[in-house]
Amino acid sequence: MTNYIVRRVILNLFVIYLVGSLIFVLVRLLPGSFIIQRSGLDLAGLTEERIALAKAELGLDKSIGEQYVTYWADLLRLDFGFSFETRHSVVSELADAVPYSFELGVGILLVGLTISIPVGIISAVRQDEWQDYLLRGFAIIALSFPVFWTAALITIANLNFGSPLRLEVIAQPHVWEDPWAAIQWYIIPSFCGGIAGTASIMRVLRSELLEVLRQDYIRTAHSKGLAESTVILRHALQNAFLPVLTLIGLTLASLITGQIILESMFNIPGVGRELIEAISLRDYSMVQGIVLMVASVIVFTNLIVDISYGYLDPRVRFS
Amino acid sequence: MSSATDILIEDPLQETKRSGLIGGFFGALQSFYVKKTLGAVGLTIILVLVIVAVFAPFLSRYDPSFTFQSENPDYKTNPSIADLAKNSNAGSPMIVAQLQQPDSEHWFGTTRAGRDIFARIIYGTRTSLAVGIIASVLAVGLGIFVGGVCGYYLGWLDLLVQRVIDTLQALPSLVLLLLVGQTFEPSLTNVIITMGVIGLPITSRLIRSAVLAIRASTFVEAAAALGASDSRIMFRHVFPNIGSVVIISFTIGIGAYILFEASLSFLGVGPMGVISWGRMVNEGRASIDIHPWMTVFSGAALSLTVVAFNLFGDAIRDVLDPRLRGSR
Repeated sequence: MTNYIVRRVILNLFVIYLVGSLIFVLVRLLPGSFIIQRSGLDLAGLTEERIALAKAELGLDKSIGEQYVTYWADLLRLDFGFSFETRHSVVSELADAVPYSFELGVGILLVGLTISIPVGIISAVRQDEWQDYLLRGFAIIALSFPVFWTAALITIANLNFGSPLRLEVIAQPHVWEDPWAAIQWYIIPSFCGGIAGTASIMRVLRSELLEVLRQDYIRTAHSKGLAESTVILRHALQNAFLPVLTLIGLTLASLITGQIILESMFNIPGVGRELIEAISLRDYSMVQGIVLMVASVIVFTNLIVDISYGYLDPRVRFS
Repeated sequence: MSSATDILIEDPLQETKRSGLIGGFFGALQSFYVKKTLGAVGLTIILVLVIVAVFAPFLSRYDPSFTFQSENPDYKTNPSIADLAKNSNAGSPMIVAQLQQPDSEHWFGTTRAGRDIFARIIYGTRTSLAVGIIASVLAVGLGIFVGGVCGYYLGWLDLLVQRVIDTLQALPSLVLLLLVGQTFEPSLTNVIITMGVIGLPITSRLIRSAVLAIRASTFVEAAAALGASDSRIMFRHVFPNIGSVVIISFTIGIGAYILFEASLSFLGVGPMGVISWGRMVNEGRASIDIHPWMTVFSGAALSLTVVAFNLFGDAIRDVLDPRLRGSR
């Protein structure tokens, strides 16, 4: 087990190294540079000396090779550099942005799980009855609706039918500061993201439950005279839930994709919006920092899921 | 198991009744329509969409980029300065027919630039279908090559390639698309190629594991024992047996690529110079309070298309993937 974990961690670190190098190259392939992007229309004011000065200040005057070495030397000391735009360290910029993304992510997962677990159970228990068809139809539609369209439709409904929810919140409250305002602010984006996540979770849960419900121990539980709800919740659901865990790890990347769109639609100053801004400004350090963070989260979440599998399901053995 | 008999098992019987390959195909199609109602609905919508895309000029009623004009109700032949201050267009007899509500002339209304939304949605079908299908073909083609070679030869090559694929998978596809999309000129071709490459991790993984499974089977062992070369084993024994995985990953992928293109266009970094539903959803948001029609209709077209491909892909997977048979 320890061997397995050590091997996986080393492989993951190698993957992170590749991601870091890939992003270092990709970001420098982007046409234009921060200096041109920032100077706006004042291109005439950009004299050679000023460009050289600005480049030296941003560390862009060195050769690519030198930049690459400094980049990794800094990263190994956990120094992510400073944002070209704000001149604050990338870490402090992320410290501002991450809580917003985290709150939205938790909101999306909460909505997704509250809908998908009961829906998946009903669909499996009532297999091939009308409830099953209805819910599966709903799942396939939810899977196909783009996040941004759901969000736009809700906005239209809000505008035309009125709603108690505030659409425009100028203050950007955190849950721990002003819970009620924050919930109003997050509920629509969470709902839009959650609906999209619901479908895949529900489908996996349903097919796993169908498999588990055919097992001998479920028949035994039934013949012991246990209530239907006990059989499903205590005996079946626990065993059907493991693949859902894997799925959450695997769909993390697509959840983050949805989050990037939702953050830019709903003006949530989270990591996704910062990333889009940083890319369009050619703010190299910010892009590198954000992408490395996102990749690490995805890679290590999957590792944790895989390891916890071994503990949760004794049948799984690592070699 | 479900009460419905499996299509694949029934196939040989159908073929004896009908003669020839074409008869067999129509027989399979017929039983697909009977047994997989939802998949058949999806397939029907897809066929309609293909017809719409091909015959767009005949169905769209108007040119999608024609700017419509209407008579100016405030027109004055010799407007005074005060009139012009009230309405700067008072001097022109015709004004751009912008943001018109849906009526018999413009079924879905007009855009801010005075263009017919219905015509633009009809032409948008071309973009979405082209992106979805070509990107999926590309991703599957690359996947067969990379997954086939890795799954067959394994060893250090496989270990290395798998790490590169891990790297691509450790990044949300949208992030890669945002970066690569802005590096090259955002033409339709470049966007499609980028999406095909970004789809590679998923397709090559699926195909690699299918190849691994077949490689371990007895008939491959027998072929190797008879002295068959690597290429013969690959082309005669391995590839013919991964057909179902290839078809599944192709059909399931299409909907995803259509959604990706729409998301990119929605964020303003999609392919330029073409009509895109995703961009229309975004453009419509600017005047969503008085004129929600563009957002509603283009989003509906997009969702309908993706629903159709997902329904069809699901049904195809049920038919071809033996592990899912019965559970559906």
